[in-house]
Amino acid sequence: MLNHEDKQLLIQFKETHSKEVAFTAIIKKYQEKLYWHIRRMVVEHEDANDVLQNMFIKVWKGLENFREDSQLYTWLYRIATNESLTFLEQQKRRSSVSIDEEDSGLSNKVKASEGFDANRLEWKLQLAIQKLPEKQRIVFNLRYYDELPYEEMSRILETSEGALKASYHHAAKKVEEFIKNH
Amino acid sequence: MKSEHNILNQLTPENANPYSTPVGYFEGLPCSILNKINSREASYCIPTDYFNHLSSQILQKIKEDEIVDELELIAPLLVALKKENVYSVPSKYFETIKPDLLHKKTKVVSLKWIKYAVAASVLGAVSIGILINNNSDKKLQIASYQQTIKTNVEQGLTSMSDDELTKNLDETKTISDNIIDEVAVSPWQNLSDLNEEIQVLSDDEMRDYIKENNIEEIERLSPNS
Repeated sequence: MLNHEDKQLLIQFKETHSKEVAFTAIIKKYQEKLYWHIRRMVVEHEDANDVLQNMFIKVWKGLENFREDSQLYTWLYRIATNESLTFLEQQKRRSSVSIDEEDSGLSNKVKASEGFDANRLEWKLQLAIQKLPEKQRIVFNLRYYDELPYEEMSRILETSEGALKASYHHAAKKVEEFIKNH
Repeated sequence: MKSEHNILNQLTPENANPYSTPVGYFEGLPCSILNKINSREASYCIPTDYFNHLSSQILQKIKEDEIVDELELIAPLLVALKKENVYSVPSKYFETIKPDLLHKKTKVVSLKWIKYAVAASVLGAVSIGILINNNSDKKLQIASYQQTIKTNVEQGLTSMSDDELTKNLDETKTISDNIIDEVAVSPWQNLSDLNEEIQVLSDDEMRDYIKENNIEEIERLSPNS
């Protein structure tokens, strides 16, 4: 199940003398994919950095007990997704905002991003994604940007492939509609 | 016979070969041959591990095509969009990410929340103290205290440096976590948040966890039970 390189890294991680080297290699290998997955969820860099660091700390604590019957990146994506959702949940609780306000909050963060250009399709796409319900947003990002097969997404999100396909179809249609109308 | 002799006499080494070669042909010949040898070798070269990665590259391409075909059917406009990252990242962010991680044993708390967390903790602690020590007919007094404290805290916070705030937060044991995770969150939400941590626990750790957190009690209190 595990690819050869990850298997080697896990073996090294279990040895005290090579633990940090292996962990560093794992971070280097997956940091960018995971960062962008998180960043698309939380929008701001500082928040993405906090979530990424927290998730890797959890990985450090839990990697020794990682069950090798699934791919390492599937497990990492799951932790990254959970951490992002927890972060967004905490933000909601802290500010006590409604769902609508939360959407506009994320949209406002997109609009406040460096280089934002309301006329560029790529930015309209980001705004459209932030308008999606949370779960659809995750499904859309995993499929559209990370190009993950439904099978992998199913393991990450613990949802059936059929439900994920339906979710992605709804999300993609909504995103397209938003771009056409704005 | 005489004429034949004349003809042979005319075939001197200089004019016996009627063919000509391009200027500098022989001077450049070794070099030209070596170049050809090198270029032929180059054409047979393959990248290192080419065959090891070939199948995965082909599968990757098939998957990409599937994703594009699928999107073509449901939202063709999105196929035409570039999937570039529009968000910016501080320069060399990915090169510097590692050292911090290896030495952090506690949860990262964003500085931008620290001010709110400290304020909330002070307010919360004082309010709880008041609630414990006073009865309900003193609600107005409590509200007045809270307003006064809020004003004082806000004034105090604006004059505190980030270092001072961080120290204060450490001393109050990451209040935001305590308040939000232990008070505001229901047991079911808490368990949901702990999902990924539970997944990595050993059986012994799991048994201890259940014992320590009295899971049976939580199940008994569940609205679904």
